[in-house]
Amino acid sequence: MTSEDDVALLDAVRGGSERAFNQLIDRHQQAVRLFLRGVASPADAEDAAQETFLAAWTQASTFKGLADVRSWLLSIAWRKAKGMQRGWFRGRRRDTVYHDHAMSITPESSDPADRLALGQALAQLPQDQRAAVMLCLGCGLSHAEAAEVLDMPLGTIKSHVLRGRARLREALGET
Amino acid sequence: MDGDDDQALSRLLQTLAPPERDALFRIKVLERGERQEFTRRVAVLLGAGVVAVVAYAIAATAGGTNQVTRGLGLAVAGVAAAAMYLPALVRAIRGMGK
Repeated sequence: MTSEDDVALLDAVRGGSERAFNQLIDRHQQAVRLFLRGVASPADAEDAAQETFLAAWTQASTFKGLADVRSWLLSIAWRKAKGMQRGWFRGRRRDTVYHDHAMSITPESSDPADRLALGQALAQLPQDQRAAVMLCLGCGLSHAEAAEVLDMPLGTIKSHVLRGRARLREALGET
Repeated sequence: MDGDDDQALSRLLQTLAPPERDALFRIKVLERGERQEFTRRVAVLLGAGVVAVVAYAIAATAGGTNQVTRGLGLAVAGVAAAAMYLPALVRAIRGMGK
């Protein structure tokens, strides 16, 4: 799979091909959902992931080809996650139930204790830091790509990753 | 040392990842899209209904002719139909152009 394939796929989506849209989902759902699971509550993450692909379907013509398709989808996902985060009550609810949900979303192959610790550790990070850490360490994006996705200066991303990583290690080391 | 720690952290974060292929998720996206489209069409129909009733009432109160009210009704129906089917039509035309 190359970025040229992705652009061709998006071109077909723009033309109304449902088959291409299905392929686009299959190719990128894992990265988008992984990112969202790190930055939002599981319920919000699934909603935001579905909304991300629907936005890609309806707004495929807005893709300018400046970034690759995965980064474009991740930037949509980030805007959706931030939109869902807005609202005081939602934010409060998310913060209080995050740990419980984090237990339920991970593959059964991982250790439940690790999952709980990871959920708790992630919940301690501010959302921007969590997003930068998820993109760079979870999804394997470069700092520059993450800066593009999150629409933040490169220096801010580096700082978020550095601090987020340190805080995660500290939190995971304590548990 | 830092690199090893990063790899361990990456591996841990990747335990949050869903399966590489997930047909259920795809179905949920399509279902959500259908649901949104249905809601949009119902809203357009309701809106058109309200506009038609209001337009008819205004035309009747102002002593408008039957042709005027009929014309208004047709215009409302045309706008509602365009709002409902235009996106699909545009996609179909674009698809034919490929």
